[in-house]
Amino acid sequence: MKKADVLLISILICIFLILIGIFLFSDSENGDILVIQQNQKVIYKDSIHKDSEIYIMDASGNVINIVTVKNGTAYMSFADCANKDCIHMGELTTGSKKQISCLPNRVLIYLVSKNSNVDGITK
Amino acid sequence: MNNTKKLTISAIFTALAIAISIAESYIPYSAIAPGVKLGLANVIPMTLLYVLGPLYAISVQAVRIIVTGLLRGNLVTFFFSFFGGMASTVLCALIKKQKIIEFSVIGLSVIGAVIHNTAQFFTALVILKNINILWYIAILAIFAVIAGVLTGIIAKYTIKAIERYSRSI
Repeated sequence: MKKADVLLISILICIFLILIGIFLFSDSENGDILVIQQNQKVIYKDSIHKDSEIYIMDASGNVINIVTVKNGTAYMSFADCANKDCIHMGELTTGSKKQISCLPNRVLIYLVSKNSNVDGITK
Repeated sequence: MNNTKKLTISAIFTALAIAISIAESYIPYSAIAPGVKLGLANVIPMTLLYVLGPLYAISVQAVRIIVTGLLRGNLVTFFFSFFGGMASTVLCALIKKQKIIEFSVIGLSVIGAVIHNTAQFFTALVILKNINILWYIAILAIFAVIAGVLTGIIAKYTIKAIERYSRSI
């Protein structure tokens, strides 16, 4: 390894750690409204405390994802894709800042707080 | 090296890259963090960049992504591999060409991995139109640096082996 390599690797790691730090300590809204977005359109928006199972379908009517909302948590319980990353991404609870995404199906689920404007984010 | 030899090496390496891509898609990386991948197949264009030059590296990478895309995944996952893979190989070729800052294979491999990640982030931005996904990309970028170092080390020894081989014949 050359000097330039070591310098590059250290700078990159610092930048990404700072980015993660900014994210972790940024103001959190207490989001408890679950939003499901498919193909850039919001297809579901309801409280995370209301238990339900949402079937997400593709254009020809096949179920591609199932989102389960149970006891104040939401998670992806089914995906038709190969790697199932979205299922492994865990669950959302009140205040979660993370998002669960299923990129092959272009599905994204996340939380917003009552007074935030969803359309403003997703437009 | 004459043209026949160059063509044979690129053909073998293309086949190897496709096999590695497909084999790697069966490794359960999701156990570490969803979306993380070592990207072993990227050792191939990186090696070719040093052994045969940028044009061979870029074409082999393009063929690998198109063939793997046809064999596995859907259109969205194809766009992800395509933009990530092509951006990283083309920019690495350009960075290797400039003489202002000289990186070794490992440094170049780290740059390639991070560009791969960044290009995929912008693809995600276009596909999902949601800026909040940034948080996850930053976490993946740390893994990209680690993956870049590891694939860089593999590429370093592959390049050495091929250079020894081409001298011996």
